[in-house]
Amino acid sequence: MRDADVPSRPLDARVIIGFGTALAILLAIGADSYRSAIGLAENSRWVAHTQVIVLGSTTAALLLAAASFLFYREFRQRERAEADLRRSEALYQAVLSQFPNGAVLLFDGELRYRLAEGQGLAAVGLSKAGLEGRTIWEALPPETCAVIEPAYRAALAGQPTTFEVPFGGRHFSVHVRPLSTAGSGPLGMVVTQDITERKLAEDDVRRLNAALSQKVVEATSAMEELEAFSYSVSHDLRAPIRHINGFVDMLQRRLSATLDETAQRHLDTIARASRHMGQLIDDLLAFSRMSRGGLMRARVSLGSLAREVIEGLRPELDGRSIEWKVNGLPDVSGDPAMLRIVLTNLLGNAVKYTRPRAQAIIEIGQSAGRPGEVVLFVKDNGVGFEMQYADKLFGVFQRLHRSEEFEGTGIGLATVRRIVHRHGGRAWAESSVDAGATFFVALPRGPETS
Amino acid sequence: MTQLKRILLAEDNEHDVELTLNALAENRLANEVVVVRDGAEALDYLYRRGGYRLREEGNPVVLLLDLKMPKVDGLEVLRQVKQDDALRQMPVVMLTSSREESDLVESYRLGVNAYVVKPVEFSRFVEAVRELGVFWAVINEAPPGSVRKGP
Repeated sequence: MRDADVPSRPLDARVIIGFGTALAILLAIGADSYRSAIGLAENSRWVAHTQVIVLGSTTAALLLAAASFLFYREFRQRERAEADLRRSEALYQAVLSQFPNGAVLLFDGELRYRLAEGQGLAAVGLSKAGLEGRTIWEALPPETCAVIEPAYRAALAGQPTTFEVPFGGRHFSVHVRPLSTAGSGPLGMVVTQDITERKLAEDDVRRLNAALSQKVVEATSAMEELEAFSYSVSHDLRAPIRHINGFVDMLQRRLSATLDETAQRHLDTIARASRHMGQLIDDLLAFSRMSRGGLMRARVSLGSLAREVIEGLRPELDGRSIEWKVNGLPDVSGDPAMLRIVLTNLLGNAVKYTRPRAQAIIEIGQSAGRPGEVVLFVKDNGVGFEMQYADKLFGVFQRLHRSEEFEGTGIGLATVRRIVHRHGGRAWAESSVDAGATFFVALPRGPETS
Repeated sequence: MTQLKRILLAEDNEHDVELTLNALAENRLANEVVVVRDGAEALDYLYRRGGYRLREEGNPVVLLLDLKMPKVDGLEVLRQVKQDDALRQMPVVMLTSSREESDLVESYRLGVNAYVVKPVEFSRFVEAVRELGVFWAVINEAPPGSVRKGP
């Protein structure tokens, strides 16, 4: 590259004028000396000659100087233009040679590279010198030529193309465009960008997606197995229980007159046990249903829901004295049917475990939680439980009381926790024996909660 | 005067057959009950083919259909019955152990007339059969072509 800051020295007009003047004086002196030397003193003809020579020389020198000056001005203008051009060329050259992460190439009708620039060349072992002046077949491996040749030819025919191609262990996005220039025959322009990193990221995304799809397939098949299991529980396990209950009933009807009290009690026990088993199966199915299916999202007023659930429990309260305290319950975002099950279980438990109390007190309210949470609590003055078993409470079939004391299947709180988890929340309990229990449900403060 | 109408009970489980017959008897529904033990046999009966080639003409007044049966299940029997012009008028009651919502939805989609989940408790089953029997076998005016045993 030429240095634009050091222009070549111009022919100076002053030199030309000085030279012209010196020439005129020399001619004048020369003519005078000649006249003196040959003794033609004061010859008017020689004087006239000398004057003509001096005048002519001076005129010639002035003309020469003027011409030089014009030439010089023209020359300077050209030189400035050339310097501008060189600066501009240098700028383009700099842009092209420093073209980041890729290359810019020009090729002609023979698919010969006319220009090759860009920082991406070196990264794949190419160079400006290795490309410029060479055809694609001379400069690049055949498999690359096979890919780019149709695109190059298309560009020469006026058709732009964009494609991706692996080269030198890296990946490139290649744009091939027809290039319109004045009078240099058809040219094509290639702009490449190294997209290896993006490709790797895309590959990662693809791998992750594939892994995720696989997981979804596995989860779906697990769900299907669960469905099949639930179905078979629903149909196959309920049937024998139904038969036991049915045949015991028929037996009782047939023998009621002749059975003694003990025999009657045994049959009652069988009937009760079969009913309990039926209840267990139904509860288990309901629990499994809570894990399946979609979760609806709606604005739910826990206050009105709690009052409705209490209303629904009243028929079972026969003669109990219960003081309900329902205070400042928030609205939450959740599945109304599922949240009803949560409250039914929690309030039902509170009713059940306060049964020994002459005056039961059940309080439902809102308490402080972590940021972004709405926390609901249900507090009773019932029999409570030992805190060391607090976590067991929420397991399927886990009970802390004998069924003679408090009936139940041990699925209610498991269902509560499952529903709360599906809402993205937490459920826990605090208690001590005989000092009542408090159950907490924390739900995320959704967009619709207040 | 109560006319006795033939009921077709399709049920593979012998205990369920006995319980259902008992529940019908308990409700003094003295209709003739034809018991078939799988879906294929139910279709044979309805189309008077196989072992039922020689049976008298006419559709049962109601078909009590178990869902899960060998060979051809209840849903398939229901599908065929409701697609057949000669049979679709016959009321079909699904009498099943399954509480699965998908079965319920599919049954109603196929045009079932009633869907009863057999309760565990026998007394409640008797009650359910009573309601069914009174409605379908006694009160409900059977479609033309149903078998009615003479007075």
